[in-house]
Amino acid sequence: MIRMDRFTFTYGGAGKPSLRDVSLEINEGEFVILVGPSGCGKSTLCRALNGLIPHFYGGNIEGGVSVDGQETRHTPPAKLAGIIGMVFQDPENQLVMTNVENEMAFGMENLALSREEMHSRVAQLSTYFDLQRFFKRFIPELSGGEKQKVALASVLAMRPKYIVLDEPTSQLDEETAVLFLDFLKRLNREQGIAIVIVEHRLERCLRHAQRIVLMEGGRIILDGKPKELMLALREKGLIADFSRKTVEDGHSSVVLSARSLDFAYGETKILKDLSLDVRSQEIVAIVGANGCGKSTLLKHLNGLLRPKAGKVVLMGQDIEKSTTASLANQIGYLGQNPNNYLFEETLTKELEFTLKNLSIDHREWKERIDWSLKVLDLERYREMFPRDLSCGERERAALASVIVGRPKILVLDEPTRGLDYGNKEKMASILDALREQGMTTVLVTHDYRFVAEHATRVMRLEEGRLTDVPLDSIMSLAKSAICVEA
Amino acid sequence: MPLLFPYQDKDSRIHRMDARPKIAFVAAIFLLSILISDIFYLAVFLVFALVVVTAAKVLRATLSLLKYTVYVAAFLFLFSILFSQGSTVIFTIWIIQVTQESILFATSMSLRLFLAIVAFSVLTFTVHPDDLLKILSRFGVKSMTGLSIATRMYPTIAADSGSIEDAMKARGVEFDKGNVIAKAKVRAPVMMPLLLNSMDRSMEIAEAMEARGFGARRRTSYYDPIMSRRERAIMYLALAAVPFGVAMFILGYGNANYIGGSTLTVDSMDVLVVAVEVLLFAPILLGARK
Repeated sequence: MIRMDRFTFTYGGAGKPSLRDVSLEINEGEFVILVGPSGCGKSTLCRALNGLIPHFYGGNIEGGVSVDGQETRHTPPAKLAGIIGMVFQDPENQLVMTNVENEMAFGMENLALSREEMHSRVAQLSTYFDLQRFFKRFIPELSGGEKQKVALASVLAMRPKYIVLDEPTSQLDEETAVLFLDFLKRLNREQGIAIVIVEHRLERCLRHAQRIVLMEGGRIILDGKPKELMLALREKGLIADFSRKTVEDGHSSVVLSARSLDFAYGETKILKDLSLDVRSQEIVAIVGANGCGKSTLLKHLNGLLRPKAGKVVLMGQDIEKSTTASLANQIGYLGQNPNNYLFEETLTKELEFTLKNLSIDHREWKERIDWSLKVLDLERYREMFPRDLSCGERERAALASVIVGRPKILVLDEPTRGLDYGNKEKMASILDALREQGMTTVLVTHDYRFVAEHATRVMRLEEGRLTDVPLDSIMSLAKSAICVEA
Repeated sequence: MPLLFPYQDKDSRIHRMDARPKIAFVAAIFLLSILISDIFYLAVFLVFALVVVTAAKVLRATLSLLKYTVYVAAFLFLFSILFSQGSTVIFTIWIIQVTQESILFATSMSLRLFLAIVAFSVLTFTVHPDDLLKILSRFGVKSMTGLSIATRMYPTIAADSGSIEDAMKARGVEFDKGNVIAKAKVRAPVMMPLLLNSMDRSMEIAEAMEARGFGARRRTSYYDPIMSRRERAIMYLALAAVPFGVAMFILGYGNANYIGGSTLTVDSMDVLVVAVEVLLFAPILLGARK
């Protein structure tokens, strides 16, 4: 049993505690979902369970945590690793070795297991996880879902009694995430391993849980069976009914079009004779499986990639001869990782960096910065180091650094990835507001719900071509993703 | 997506071999190439090393590495000719005398360089970084783990810098305008997010390693560290080539002073010595374990 007893923790240098007086017991064989808005202390709680707090993160603690009777205060996480395993959010940053087999062995080597034991466990797990196919594969070549599976297998190889997962699906697409969660359930049922999982898309893992723990402001405010908590979760907006807010307009003029694009990476053809017309004030969503070329397509729209054949026409002009930078004041682009946009000392300076590059007249700066920060609800963070902001706020800060150039068209690559429900709603209403001000948006996403509620048009990229997806069918997909049993 | 990672994952008898005999081979060839200056010896070694990389199916990768060395060699020739010291003039261009001494000296130096590169490509292209790590980690655990993570993260960081560049372009930074200095200057802001991202990553990795029990106790090893008898023989024979080569060098075999007037001569004793040395290295071609 993991027992947390009146535990309070304040990170070094932080003014207020991230966890306040938390008491929690986790029994063997349980499946617990930990929910709550961004910044409520979920990740901190996970790290307190296996002793990363206080051993890896400095800070002030009161109360205590014990794992099967061992006080985490006196036992470093490395010593607890055989009892409690942890899977982190970013698959990229938790794999240490270069191939799958060595990765699975890494933890067992740390436990100083005998060679025979390690080989038998690797054999067993690779069958269980169906990993033999890429046993010797180079880890950076695996997809996100595969990496996350390898991370889980590597933790499991150490035969822990408890596994704590901190938003393990936030970097995965919808289908992969559902498979991953089903797999976790199977593990829990067949091997009796206790699972504690942080998941902000509650809808999709609700059916697996025996117990839900709801956190807010560093405290546990509710703890019980899913059925008992349904009403409260709805009230908190953690489970929301589906509603479509966006309405389609009549026909406006075409502002961006792609004509017969062909593109290949080496021998692999990605885009084949692809055409697309985007009209003013549309929100066009592009969906499709992982690796089908959605990001590649987006990068063609502002010249980050150039087609092997075909052309892109922006506001009536062929962009073939223009550099991406020279198009930046007409078409804004936000890639997948907002951190790539954030490096200046303050948010204001971050926006000024863009304005300077675009040679915008100094007299316009203040007005533009004020406008961007207002639209994105970031006014209070003007003087903050943008990388210190929360995940949702960083996404918006990165978007601010793009829209400050006042482009007519926005191209967004998975703008809601990793965001919790509240932040996603916020992002959506921002896109709606920008649309009302005349902005046209093309975005790639895996989030059917977001698409169904906010896109004016949906297209699927498959085998290098785009096909229209009727909004009705997207809505039924979105609804099936929220299959909630009350 | 192209991966910037030097190791070539091929199925060859050289790849299948334990890393240690390969490291011994590379070290021995390298030491001899520093010592020996005779063109005949160096040329034979170079041909042999090329045979080894061919057997390892990494000839193409090796040649593309050598491509850059050709410029260095060209510079060596130019330099030796311009500052020639010898007196045996072969021909004269304008006022520059091209001497036999300088040509031979430059040839010897270039062969030495090529040999070192080819030998090292056996190491970089056929020894898996994880294996290299395991051998190195015997000499000190934690510091060497850092090295392994660096190799593991290299492709990630390379991809990172690509997407940061994209983000910058989308914010109006022109990367391909102006001269070399302007281009370099405009790239400076890329370094900042790259550095910050890498720092975040390294913290997360350290945390993940800690959570997986790294450093709690003395580790065991997943792989069988025992070499087969054959691999052991390959390793010892390659190592034996060093004292043999040194002894022969002291006796004057393989030692040519081209600046001092040595000429390109090969006698039967030279052929015999080279043959013995190559024979000591040759078992590597047989490879090992199935």
